[in-house]
Amino acid sequence: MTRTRIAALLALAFVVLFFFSSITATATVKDMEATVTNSLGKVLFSLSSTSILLLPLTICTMLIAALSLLYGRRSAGMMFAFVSAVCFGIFLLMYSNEQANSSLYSQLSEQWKAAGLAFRKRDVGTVTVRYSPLTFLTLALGFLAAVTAMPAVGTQGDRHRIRRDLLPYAYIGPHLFFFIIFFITPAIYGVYAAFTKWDLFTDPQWVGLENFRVLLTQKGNTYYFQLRNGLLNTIKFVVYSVPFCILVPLTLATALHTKARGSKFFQSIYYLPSLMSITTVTLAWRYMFFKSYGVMNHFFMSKADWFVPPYSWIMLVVVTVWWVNGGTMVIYQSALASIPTEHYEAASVDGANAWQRFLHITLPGMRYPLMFTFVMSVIAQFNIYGQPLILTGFGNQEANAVLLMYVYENAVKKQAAGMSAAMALILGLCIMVVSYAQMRMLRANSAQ
Amino acid sequence: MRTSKYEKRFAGIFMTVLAFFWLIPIVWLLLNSFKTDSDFITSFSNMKGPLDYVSRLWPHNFTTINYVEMFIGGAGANTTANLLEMSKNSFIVSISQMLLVVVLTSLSAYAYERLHFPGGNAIFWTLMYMSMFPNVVAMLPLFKISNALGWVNNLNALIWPALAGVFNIFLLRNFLKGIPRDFDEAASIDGANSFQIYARIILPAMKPVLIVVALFSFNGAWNDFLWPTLVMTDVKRQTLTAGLRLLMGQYEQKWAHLIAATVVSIVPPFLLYLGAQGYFLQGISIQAGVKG
Repeated sequence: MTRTRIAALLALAFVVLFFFSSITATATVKDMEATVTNSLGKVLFSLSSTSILLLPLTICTMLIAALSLLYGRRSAGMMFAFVSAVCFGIFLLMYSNEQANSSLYSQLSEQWKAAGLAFRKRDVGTVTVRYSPLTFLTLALGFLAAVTAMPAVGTQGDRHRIRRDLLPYAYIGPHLFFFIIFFITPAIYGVYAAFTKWDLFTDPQWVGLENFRVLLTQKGNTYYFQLRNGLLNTIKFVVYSVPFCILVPLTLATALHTKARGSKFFQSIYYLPSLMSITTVTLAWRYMFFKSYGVMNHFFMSKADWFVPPYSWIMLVVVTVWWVNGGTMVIYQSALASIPTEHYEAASVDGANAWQRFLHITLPGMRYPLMFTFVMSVIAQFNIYGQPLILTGFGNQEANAVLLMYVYENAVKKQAAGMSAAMALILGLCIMVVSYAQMRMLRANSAQ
Repeated sequence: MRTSKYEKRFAGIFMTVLAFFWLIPIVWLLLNSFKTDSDFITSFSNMKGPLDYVSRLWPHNFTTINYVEMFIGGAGANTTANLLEMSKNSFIVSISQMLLVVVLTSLSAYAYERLHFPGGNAIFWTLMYMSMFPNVVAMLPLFKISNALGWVNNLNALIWPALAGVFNIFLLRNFLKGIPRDFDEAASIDGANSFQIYARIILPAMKPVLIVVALFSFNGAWNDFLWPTLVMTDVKRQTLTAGLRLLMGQYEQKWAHLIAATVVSIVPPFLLYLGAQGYFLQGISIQAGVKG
């Protein structure tokens, strides 16, 4: 076995041992000593203090180290293993000094409460933290992996090569750091939270498939109703709005493309709403649709009450299209500009009228941007939240309530964040199917 | 494309009519922001038909009191909602996020595209595939993380998480593909190190697309809604656009005040857009990958 392989195995062993390590915390209130022992995995998933955020970094960098080594990149493997071990070391130092760990405190206080002890938080003396021997073995293993992976450094050429190998990581490092902390960690945690009972602040309690059982099968339950109603309304909205999110910008882009007088000016006007926030947009449009003094009812003389279905759907679609039109329109404009003019001239010579030219030259020429914007629109509209919240949120809640509104409400106002996470995961799965298609397109296009 | 005179004229009329409809909400807001609260309500009583409605939109007793009271203070201002404070928050968040995104993504894009390193492409596409994981799922845990960092009601929570995005790197990378390598190679032969090449050659060359990325991240931060309402529970720490939603409840009887605040919230992104308009089409077409 080569040295690289051994280093890779050590890195993997680090990850395995990590989850077997444990931390024991002890504290005393009025001579009553309470002790809790948590595995590092449990500490990681409590995510209750700053130092714990070093743990996802530890795991991710060590996994990258193992992968690099398996592919024979020794310099990178050494560096990542070293970074991982250092992160872990800093965690061990920081964690034992952190007294304000809410998760630990609540676990300890349960024991005092069980003993019938009445106390205030400040009665708790220092929390003493002890690490299991395995913890230190894990730490040592991390450094050992780094040392084993170390390439030869004898000659100047060796050192030069290592520097050249590691240089790119200095550039991508900062982004990788934020990606691990603010993307990978919450994403994995979000999946985990879907299987727990959770109130957003304390430790989630694992309940297995319970949330999904309630959401998917328990008829008559509020959450069952919310999922069905919310998802159905979300899908309805996607179906109603996406065609217009394509057609309106396409029409506008085609008109702008004629280069009629004032096109630049009109382009700015059509783009303007895209610069606004959803609150501004909905606030403005609320006034348009108000029955007592709105433009719709008093200028266009409509008799409808725009805030109840089916009219409310029309309102939501109008507002959304007005808001998102700009971005898509500009994409179409540049796509139109890239279609060679000779094609049009040839068609004109053959006697094709404007509509035929559009059908046979423009549309095929815009195949890719059309597909791209379609997928983008579907994803964006699946995430609908602000429009129904602000426009129809008051009064007739359920008729236009979308899934994200329930996700937010259950998590923030009803302390049912576990259920929210499960709903979010279901919505996420719907979006994922669409975005997978998008990624395939992006990759194919960028490879060209 | 050569268009006939007839087609051009038709398109012109079509665009004019549509622009009129397009601007209705904005003009409506602007006009009504110059009425007093009481004028606003009385101006819409006993309306007789569409033309009468239009005449009533005009602010006959023109006043700027709403703007003054919302942002500077006065008898009609709500003491709990400080719009000046909210605007300051918005500016801090948007500008710092914009600068950080530009620096971080350009560094990464440069490394992935120009510093050929083994495994770089694999890392990049792994990040891209991971980033398609829907944000909805990550939102609540992100709150938990912010809480662990002590960032609830702290502007940091609105700035740093946005730096995890990968799509901007993709944009810049695609743009870099179109820039010839001759310059970097020449500089490299002259003894410039990789950072000098990045700072002196790559950054200036990426200027148009960097401006677009900057504009989008400024606007994204300025206009974000769901995340600020989740993580900022204190009104004073809220951003301007997300804070408007809170004002809707508090200013239920002071419509004109609320409208004035709304108008102001549009101004910074609009000014930025006017400044960067020239780069816009170019930038967005790169975004769509049209010029892949």
